[in-house]
Amino acid sequence: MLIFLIVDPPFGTNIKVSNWDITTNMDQLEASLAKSSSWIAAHWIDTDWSSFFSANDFAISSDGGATWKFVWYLPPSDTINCWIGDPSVAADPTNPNRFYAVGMIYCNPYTPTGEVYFCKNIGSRPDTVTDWTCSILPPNDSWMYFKDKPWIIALGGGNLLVAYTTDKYGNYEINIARSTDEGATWNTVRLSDVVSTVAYFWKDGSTVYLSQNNFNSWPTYIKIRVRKSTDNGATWTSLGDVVSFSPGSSTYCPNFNRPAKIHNNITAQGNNIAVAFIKPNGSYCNVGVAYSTDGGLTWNNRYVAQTSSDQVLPMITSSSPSTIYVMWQEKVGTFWTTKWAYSTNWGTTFSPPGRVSDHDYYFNESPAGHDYNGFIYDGGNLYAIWANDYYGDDAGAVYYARTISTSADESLSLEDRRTDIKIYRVDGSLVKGDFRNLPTGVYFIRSGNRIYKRILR
Amino acid sequence: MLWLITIGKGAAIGIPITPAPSKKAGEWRLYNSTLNTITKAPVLKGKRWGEPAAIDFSGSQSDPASATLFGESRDFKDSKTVRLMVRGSGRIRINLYYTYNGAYRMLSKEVNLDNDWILVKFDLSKGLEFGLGMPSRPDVIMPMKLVISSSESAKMDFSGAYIE
Repeated sequence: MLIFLIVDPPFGTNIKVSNWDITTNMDQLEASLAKSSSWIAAHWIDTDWSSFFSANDFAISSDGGATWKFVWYLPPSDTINCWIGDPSVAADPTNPNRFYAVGMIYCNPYTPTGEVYFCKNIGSRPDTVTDWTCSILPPNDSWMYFKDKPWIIALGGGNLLVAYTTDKYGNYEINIARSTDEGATWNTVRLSDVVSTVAYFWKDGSTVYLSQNNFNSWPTYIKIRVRKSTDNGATWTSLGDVVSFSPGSSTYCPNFNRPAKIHNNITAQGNNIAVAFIKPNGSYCNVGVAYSTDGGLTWNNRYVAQTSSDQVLPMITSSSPSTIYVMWQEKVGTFWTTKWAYSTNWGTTFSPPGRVSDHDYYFNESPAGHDYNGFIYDGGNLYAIWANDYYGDDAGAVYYARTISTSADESLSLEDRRTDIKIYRVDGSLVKGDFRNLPTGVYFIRSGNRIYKRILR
Repeated sequence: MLWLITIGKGAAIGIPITPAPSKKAGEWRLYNSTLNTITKAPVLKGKRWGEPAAIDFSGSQSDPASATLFGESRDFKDSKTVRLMVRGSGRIRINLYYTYNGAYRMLSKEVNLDNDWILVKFDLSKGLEFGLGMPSRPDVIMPMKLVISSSESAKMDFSGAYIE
């Protein structure tokens, strides 16, 4: 008997989150995403302002992302000397009505220094601006140092971690602001041994993982270091540099004028850890995944979908010790597309890429920001948000899509299939003949008016 | 079908901002280190950046020490090299951060100090942008910095850096 497992139902209709008539050439960038059982929240850079450069916007959905409410934006209070960026949002895993947001504020043009802001909703209505409060993340050094690229994770039980890069101790290195009381008080953990500009978190059970770029061998090599903590971020153990590659003559990509090669993003399940990064393919930027199945003792890496085009901003998530999902933005001809792929053997092989965006789009290839997107697995579905999407607009917008399955763990026996069933390969071609001899792979199954996507193991 | 829902823009949230004055070119910022000026040091070709100094580092693996020399915040694409000489004892790392062709870059050298002066040369065209700053905002240029750090106890004489 053939068994098909649903693990990657296709993405549904795209929804424009930054849903107003954005001024021509003004971009919405760097969208981050967080989900609780009650809400889905988005936080992104908005450059559509006439009196200042940027604000970070916060919007929320109570209906699974079908509709979005723009709740608040955070502009710099000094619109001459300061500006805003790098938004990151987190959902509290122990309180479905509690969200946290961080971002950076640069001040003092010509010699910019920065602080990180921290926002949270204090009641039970994250969709109401009066429920929110924002402040400078401690330690507030009054813009004496440079701080940039914050990324937040809520661990539950009041535990919060915010990683950011700072030159407070000389070189740019990752510091972690850590709170055990929902942000009422904070202390700082210094990761001092690596020159680094950005870090990301993942929580698996009681273990927190961190990936960060490592410039200690710069500019000959870019490395990515992984650490783990089993005490909610109070102390960290290095798992070493999990991948090392030459950035070539530039960290930019031929069609993306930002240092995309410094990116990393991490996921883990048990002893399995995986990091998405930009693996150069000649001069092109392609998506790579470094993966370990022994708790980080040994690592391999591979392309996800090698191509002679640019792929940028890979975000990675996972649903089990076998299954990884990766999303990225890719240039296809003159347009860009948001794509995804999955692995059911923890990175050893990947499916052919599928579409997240239901459309191709123009894309600002020299954006003011744009270093990540949002990609979440939760409860059997994938949730995606991306930005810099000019579809149907003369400005870059934020779009959202989710998969449409009710359960990723649902199984289907072809023995019970209806007589009107048709099976298509990923490339769209119709499978003819005996369904029972299909090779391992991904198939679309049409039954009546419904279309399913299945992996045949 | 594309879903278009008019939601309008939300309400503004404000945070008071009270920036501290920036460091000026030639000024140092010290962490776990002490600095004294010295009078005798080699002179190299080019425009001198920073006074000759003797710096003691009290660093460790978990808490490295550093001395940061700030420079002019401008694009250094018209300059070719930054050179300096150091001597002393212990091991140091010298990282140069600068803007070149509009991108913020970094170059790094590790030096085992000796009683004799050692020349350290940075070729500004060799650094790569590493992701800080705002390349799309040419009015915003990140600070030029020379960060000398040590993860141990080290004593160093510094000649001043020379930009050519």
